[in-house]
Amino acid sequence: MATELKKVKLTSSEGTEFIIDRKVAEKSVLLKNMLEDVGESDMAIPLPNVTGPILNKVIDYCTHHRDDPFVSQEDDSKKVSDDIDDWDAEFCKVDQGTLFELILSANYLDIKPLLDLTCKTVANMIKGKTPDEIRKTFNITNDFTPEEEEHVRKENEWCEER
Amino acid sequence: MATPNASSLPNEIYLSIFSHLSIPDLLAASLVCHKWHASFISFLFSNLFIKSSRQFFLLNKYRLLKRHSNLILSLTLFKLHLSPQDKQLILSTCKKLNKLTLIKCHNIDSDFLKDILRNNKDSIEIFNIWGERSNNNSRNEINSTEINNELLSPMLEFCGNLRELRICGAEITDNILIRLTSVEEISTENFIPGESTFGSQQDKLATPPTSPISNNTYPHLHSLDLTECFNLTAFGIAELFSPDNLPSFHSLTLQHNPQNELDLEFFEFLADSFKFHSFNIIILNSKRFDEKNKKVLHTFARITKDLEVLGTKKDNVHVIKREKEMIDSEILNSFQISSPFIYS
Repeated sequence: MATELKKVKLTSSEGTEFIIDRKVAEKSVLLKNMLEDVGESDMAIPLPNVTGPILNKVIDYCTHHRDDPFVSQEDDSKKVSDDIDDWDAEFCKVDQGTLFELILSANYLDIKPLLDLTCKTVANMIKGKTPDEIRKTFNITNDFTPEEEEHVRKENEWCEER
Repeated sequence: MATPNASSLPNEIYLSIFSHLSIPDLLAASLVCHKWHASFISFLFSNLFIKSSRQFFLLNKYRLLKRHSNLILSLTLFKLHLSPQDKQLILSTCKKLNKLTLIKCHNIDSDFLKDILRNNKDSIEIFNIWGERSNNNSRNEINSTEINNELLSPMLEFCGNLRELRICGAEITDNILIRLTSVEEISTENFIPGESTFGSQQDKLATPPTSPISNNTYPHLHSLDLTECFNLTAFGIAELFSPDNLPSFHSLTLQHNPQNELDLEFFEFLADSFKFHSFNIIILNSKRFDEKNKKVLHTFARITKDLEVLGTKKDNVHVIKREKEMIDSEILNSFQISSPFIYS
């Protein structure tokens, strides 16, 4: 296929240029649609929301998964978060700032499997923890007053009903 | 751009993260900070799943439904005994539903269905209902509301924006399908213009019933699922394919049943005549036939085999062979419902 050999040029927020296979770029629905709309072009696509190091990571991911079948929106909605394979788990071993930047980039570039993977990774960091442990894990300040907290607990009662 | 942290993400990201959590973890997350709590509320209420009357009671006690009514886009009621108060509460709060799913609920009535569809007629695109057919219930279980023509007919006039319609486990007959495909004969007294709260920007496609309507009463209807509807016949199904009746219609799910005329020949005829439509055919190879009547089982095995051959021969036919009737988790799956409440 001709499209497989084609290259695509991307520029990150600080202006670094990346040249990648079109097939890899098309893992991103945003880029796929852009490339389809624009057609043949040597112009670099600017990605002002994505920094160089993050774009590098995203390209790593898309290259590794380039031959995965495209998963449609609502498929396998009940998949649990334990099913992360070794490569993906290793890929997500990054500091929290990077992980959240990856999430935002996956969301912006519309790469559903990467968004799922990174969100699952965050979910796994939440699992089994108390609110206080979660705050410590993510360095979040508790902005609830004790009264507000009590109120939320009461309101949540309907969720505990079986 | 500042480095993002766990309390500065957009709401949609929290929704993706929360979709991987169970109820106990979600409850912990709700207490982390205001931002997480707000996302937790929007996560649970945008796709509201209710499975007990006690939940209704508690939701009402803290006025949660009223307070968050503008968030509710999808509502699923699962095996619920609906009291008149519950119904009133739903009707007064859910007014911008995109998706409504009722699974094996008790005390549903045609007025309730009509009212909720009318209240949401401009926004609702997906309606799913699953009943329990009376003949295959275990002795002691009380049957949920039977889904039949009388129950569904009054709501049909408010279904003009539907894209997906699933009526399953129902006793409906061809009449419903004929209503879906023919010009409405609506009595004007049923139409109360002031009642629709969200009718401000009237959709031009939701034609007022008083004006002469073209045949396209359901111009957006894309897929129709009639799993476990055994009173339908080939005549009713054929109506769906009358030219120009359902211009967007694409996907049909049917269940083969030895009692009606939905047989191999009919499916082959459909597949050949409507090459651009896709057909899902479910066949149940139930063991119960074995005990009752060897002969039926024999015929059934042959049809199953023939259908499978058809499925491999035709691109637009997908045959689903089953050994058992759908269990609840499969029903939820086929209705594309996912909620942390399902597994708690």
